[in-house]
Amino acid sequence: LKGLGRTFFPPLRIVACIKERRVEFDYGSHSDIYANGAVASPLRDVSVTDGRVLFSGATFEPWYPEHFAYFFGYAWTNYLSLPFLLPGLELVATQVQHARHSYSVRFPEQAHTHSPVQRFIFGSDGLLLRHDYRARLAGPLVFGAHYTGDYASYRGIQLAGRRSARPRLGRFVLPLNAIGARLTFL
Amino acid sequence: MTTNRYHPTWSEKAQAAFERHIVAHGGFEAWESLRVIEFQPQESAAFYWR
Repeated sequence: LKGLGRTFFPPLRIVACIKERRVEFDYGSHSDIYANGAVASPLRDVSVTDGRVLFSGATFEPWYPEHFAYFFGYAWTNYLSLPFLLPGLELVATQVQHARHSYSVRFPEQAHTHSPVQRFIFGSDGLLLRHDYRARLAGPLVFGAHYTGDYASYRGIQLAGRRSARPRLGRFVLPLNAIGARLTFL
Repeated sequence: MTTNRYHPTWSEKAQAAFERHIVAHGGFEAWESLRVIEFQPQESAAFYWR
């Protein structure tokens, strides 16, 4: 939809410096950098201090490597910081059903993230199972349910090796895999 | 339980419930010592029915 495999490609390797909120997308011949909202894509001579200026927010807007770097830069810094970043955010709702817990939090207005309010659902094993959000930059109608699984220990923390983002209509998740990824941690 | 990590909107009950998830994910201590995560993504084909 955005041009994956046509106007931009997945990098060979991703190096995320979580605390600095910096992500390097290594393409072999060069790297694009996301750094706390700023994006540098040297091959395309793009350098902006806030990647949001790159987007129109239209559903069918084609993406280029700099769009990928911003969107997945903030996404990976947030995803890889879960659930540890949640306690510092405003809690707007909780729901406990049997062993399954959900927490809705509000991010600060200027935060680099998908949407101000997001919901996180944890499974009976205590691990994050699903993350609901609206991907504002991807288009006005892009509501996602991001499923995580195949957890493995990485330097003492549990990280999901399998991820699948599916479109959502309200609380209903459509049986369509918008994008899926398997991660090999190095 | 370390309560000062939590935004004031988290009740004690919510904090206690959430600590279980923190522990399941490895705990704050392991998280704080982690600096870099390096990985290779294998994207599957986008938009397929399952």
